[in-house]
Amino acid sequence: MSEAEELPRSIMRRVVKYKLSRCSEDGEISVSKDGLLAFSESGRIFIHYLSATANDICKESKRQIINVENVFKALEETEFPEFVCPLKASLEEFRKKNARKKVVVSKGKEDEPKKKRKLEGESSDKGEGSEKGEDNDKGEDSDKGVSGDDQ
Amino acid sequence: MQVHVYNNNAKMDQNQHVQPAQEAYGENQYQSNPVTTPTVLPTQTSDSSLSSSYPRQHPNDPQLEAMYELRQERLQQQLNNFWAKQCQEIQEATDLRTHSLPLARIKKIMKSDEDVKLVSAEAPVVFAKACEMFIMELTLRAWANVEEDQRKIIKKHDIASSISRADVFDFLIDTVPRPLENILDQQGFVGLPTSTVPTPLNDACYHNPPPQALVPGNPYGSPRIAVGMPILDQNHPGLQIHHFLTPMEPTPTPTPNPQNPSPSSDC
Repeated sequence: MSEAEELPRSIMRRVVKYKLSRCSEDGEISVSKDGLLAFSESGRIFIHYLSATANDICKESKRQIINVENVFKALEETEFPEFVCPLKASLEEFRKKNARKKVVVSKGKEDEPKKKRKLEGESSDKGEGSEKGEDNDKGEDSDKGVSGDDQ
Repeated sequence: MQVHVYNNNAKMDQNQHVQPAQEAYGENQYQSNPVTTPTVLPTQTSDSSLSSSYPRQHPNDPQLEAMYELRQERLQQQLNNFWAKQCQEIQEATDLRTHSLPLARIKKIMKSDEDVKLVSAEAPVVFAKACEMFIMELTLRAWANVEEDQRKIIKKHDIASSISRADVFDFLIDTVPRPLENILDQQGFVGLPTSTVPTPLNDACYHNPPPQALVPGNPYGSPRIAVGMPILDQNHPGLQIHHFLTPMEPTPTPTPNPQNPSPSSDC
């Protein structure tokens, strides 16, 4: 297994320490190096296991893209149903943050001066303008938030 | 020429006069300002400090005096409310830092499976949070294991034992295998002497074939002789059959016979 597939140990240590600080009042319990490696490996295998289960569910419903709903069903199948509610809450939070970001970006674009566009519009012909419009439409359609097989 | 020299001298004189003034200014630069007001922390604010910041313009007018006092009270109340809110927010804020795993790394791990081809943009976010919660769950179980043994460090075998105890973590059994002594400990085989475990191949004696067995036609000896094979002697002490995989039972203590009590010496 290459290091590119390993989960970062610093974050794993942070997560484990955070949980231990909540569990033990003393906060003196620490994690050995091999223990941290075991946690990291367990997390990696969990992702493999969950993604394989979600992929099977996805194939059953005759779809190619692994969706969030497939992941939730996979969690229930793999006997982790208690994870579903908090995950749905965190997903909602993530969506809200994304919506805010989009609003901020769109506002920023509106506020920018449009002198260059006007100059380009005057100099260019109608045909070129229509081609540009087509390109923009294509760009908007292509961004669906789906990542293909990069390998 | 003389005039020119005179001018130079005059310039030098001017420079000499200027330098002491600059030095004096430089010295004053590092001196503390004697007229400084003492800084007051927001938690240490009092009525006196607030009243000093708002000087009374009309001390004789009773109506203005009342308005001024009312304003001071309001200001003080607002200040107290603000700091009370701040303290409450600090106490309630437990998640000071979100430990989100890198989404690109999670996507890589998912894509390492050849069957997985397309993943939605939100799926890695859910995976990251799920993995974090899973690690926390595993940490909790490992911590419980450490607490039982009254230790301070979580080691690999703690995680392994917590995996073996819960059926939910069956998919991790091969990933974090348990040591042999832990398995024996759980089944009650700890404390067995090492001599009870038979080691037939270590104790068996090897022999070489006799020299007359090697004939010129067959350099490897007679086909009936297995070269280098151990002679298994059934009477050898190392080859006795031991039923060592049964838990050791305590030997029954002999009950004293009530008819024949042991003679006790009375002093």
